[in-house]
Amino acid sequence: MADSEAALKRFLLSNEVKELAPSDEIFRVNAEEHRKLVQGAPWSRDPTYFKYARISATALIKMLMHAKSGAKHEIMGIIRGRILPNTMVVTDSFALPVEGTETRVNAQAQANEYMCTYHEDSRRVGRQDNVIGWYHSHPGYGCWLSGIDVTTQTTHQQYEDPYLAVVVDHVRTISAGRVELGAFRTYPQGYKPADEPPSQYQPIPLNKIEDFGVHCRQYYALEVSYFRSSLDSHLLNRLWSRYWVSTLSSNTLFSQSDYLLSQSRDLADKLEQAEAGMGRQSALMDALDSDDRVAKLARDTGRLVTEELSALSGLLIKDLLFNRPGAKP
Amino acid sequence: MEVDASTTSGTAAASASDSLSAGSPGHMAPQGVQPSVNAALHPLVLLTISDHWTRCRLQFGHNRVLGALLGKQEGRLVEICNCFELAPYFSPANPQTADIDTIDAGFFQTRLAQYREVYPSLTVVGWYYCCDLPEEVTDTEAALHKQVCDLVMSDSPLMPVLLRLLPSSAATTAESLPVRLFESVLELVNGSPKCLFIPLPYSLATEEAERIGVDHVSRDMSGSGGTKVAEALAVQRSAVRALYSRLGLLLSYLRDVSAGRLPPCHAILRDLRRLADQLPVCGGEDFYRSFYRQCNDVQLTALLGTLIQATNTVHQLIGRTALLQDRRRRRVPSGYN
Repeated sequence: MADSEAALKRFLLSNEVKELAPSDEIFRVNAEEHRKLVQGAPWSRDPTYFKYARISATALIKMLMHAKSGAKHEIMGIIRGRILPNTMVVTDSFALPVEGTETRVNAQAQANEYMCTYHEDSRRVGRQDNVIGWYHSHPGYGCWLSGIDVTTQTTHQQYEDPYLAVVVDHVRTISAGRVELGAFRTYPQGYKPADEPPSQYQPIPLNKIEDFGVHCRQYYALEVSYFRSSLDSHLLNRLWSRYWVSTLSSNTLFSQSDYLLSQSRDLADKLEQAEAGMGRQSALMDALDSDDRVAKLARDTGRLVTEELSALSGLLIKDLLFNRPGAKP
Repeated sequence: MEVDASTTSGTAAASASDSLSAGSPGHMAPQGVQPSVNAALHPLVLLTISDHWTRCRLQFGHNRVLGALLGKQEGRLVEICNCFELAPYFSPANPQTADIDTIDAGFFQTRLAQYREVYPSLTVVGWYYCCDLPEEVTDTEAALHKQVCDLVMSDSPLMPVLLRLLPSSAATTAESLPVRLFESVLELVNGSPKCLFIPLPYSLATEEAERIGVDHVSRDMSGSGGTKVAEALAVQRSAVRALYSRLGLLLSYLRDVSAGRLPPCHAILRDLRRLADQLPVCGGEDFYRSFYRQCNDVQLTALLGTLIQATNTVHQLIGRTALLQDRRRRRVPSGYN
């Protein structure tokens, strides 16, 4: 609370209420610069040209809510924005009425008419940004690109570059208490990245681990950051002054119980698999490989335990606050 | 929140009786009329409207920011879930300038059909508008409202709700959201049907994913760092701090009353008493038994996790030892171990 109050005071002092705050500049479309950048097409010469992805608050919440409304189904949609040097800026997203990209490569062909009409109409209400990518959800199994996703994205990058693939996982978001979102671009065919970029480790369920492993070298992740306008900031501060109640009252252990249970079961399967692999001759040498099954199992378990403990700490805090009046902690 | 609503409706009704717009009667319902529905608002709607407003200011210059609200209505509860922008009408006779007082009906229908494809359970429950007057409904708004009614009434039986965002007061109002909701009723005034507006109290609808997203974006500027556990605890800590500051406020009020600096308000004192009586919130053997069982379950998982980590460490140790042994054997081929 203190830092939001300080920020508000600073804002009032600098008296930029009527003027455009610097943080709003990103919303301004500079057609000239954009055209020059697009014509130059520096990404065709350097496959890792785009290193950063900046996503607006509105686009993030829209994607999360769309993913949530799809529940266990994978949903997909289009993202719009523009490019800046080395950065892809996502300003908006909209949903497509198709389900599930895990079995079809060009699910988007079905929604082409929807997309065109929506996009054309949007120009009239001031959305002048172009289509710059697509997003889809992986409910419960992490933010990465599967084989089908890689194929789809490579096709897009061939014909419609600059293009960005965003994956959002709303189940893991709720469970972990932080936003699980990844922005990816694929390498062109045959390109070998110069050095191994450090990747964010995340546990993958057993039935998807094959798919992940085969394709994980074919794309790279962009560094994601979020931005918001000055009005957004104020609204968000006000929202927080009402939301803290639900933060305290949320009970993740209860609401996410089936997700946590499925994770535990998955870990049990991995443990059995690791045990079966122990009998092999080369098992001892494998221990030094950081991709070893047991090491991965240890990391996955660590993650699940962290999530459960954070959820429990919430419950303990509530118990201390509300059930023991007068107790000194 | 009840305190908010009563003051809002009180001042609104009072200002309705002395209307500011020259000559025409006010559009507010007479004093004492209670709204018939309760509204729940999703933060996504607020963020989308603010995004629309920022873009309109940057690109168009005019301030006519309006759009349609989508949501669900169940009985007396209206839940506003999503929204989309509406375009002003470009007449074929004059395609360059927009007639900003008319809403483009074709655009509305197409967009509505598109949103229906993706979110089949949502219907149009109202419309939004950005303007800075706090309490009244102006003539422009009333005219636009009539157009919205015509567009929407064929679709659903309920009267649309007006949501107004006050962009400039966002920076100055201390605590409450710069949003006003009005419910409209059709009444006979001087023999002709007219829409009158009643201020509507609202609450924030909470949805886990939305809350985490909002939380993440509002804190992201301060930079991220530290472990996952630290982040989760930091969120809890800021929530507890908010609770603490609220309690501090109540405590200072009580101190002032008991010292005689403020006149006591019995309604507030009764509420405070009720709050204090509610502690402890949960108790009893059953609660604690299941609570401790849940704690034990989580700690069991933690124990298993630690065991697996230890196993992994031993596994790596054995591997390294085997490697060393192997190397030593190769270096001393005569067989020393």
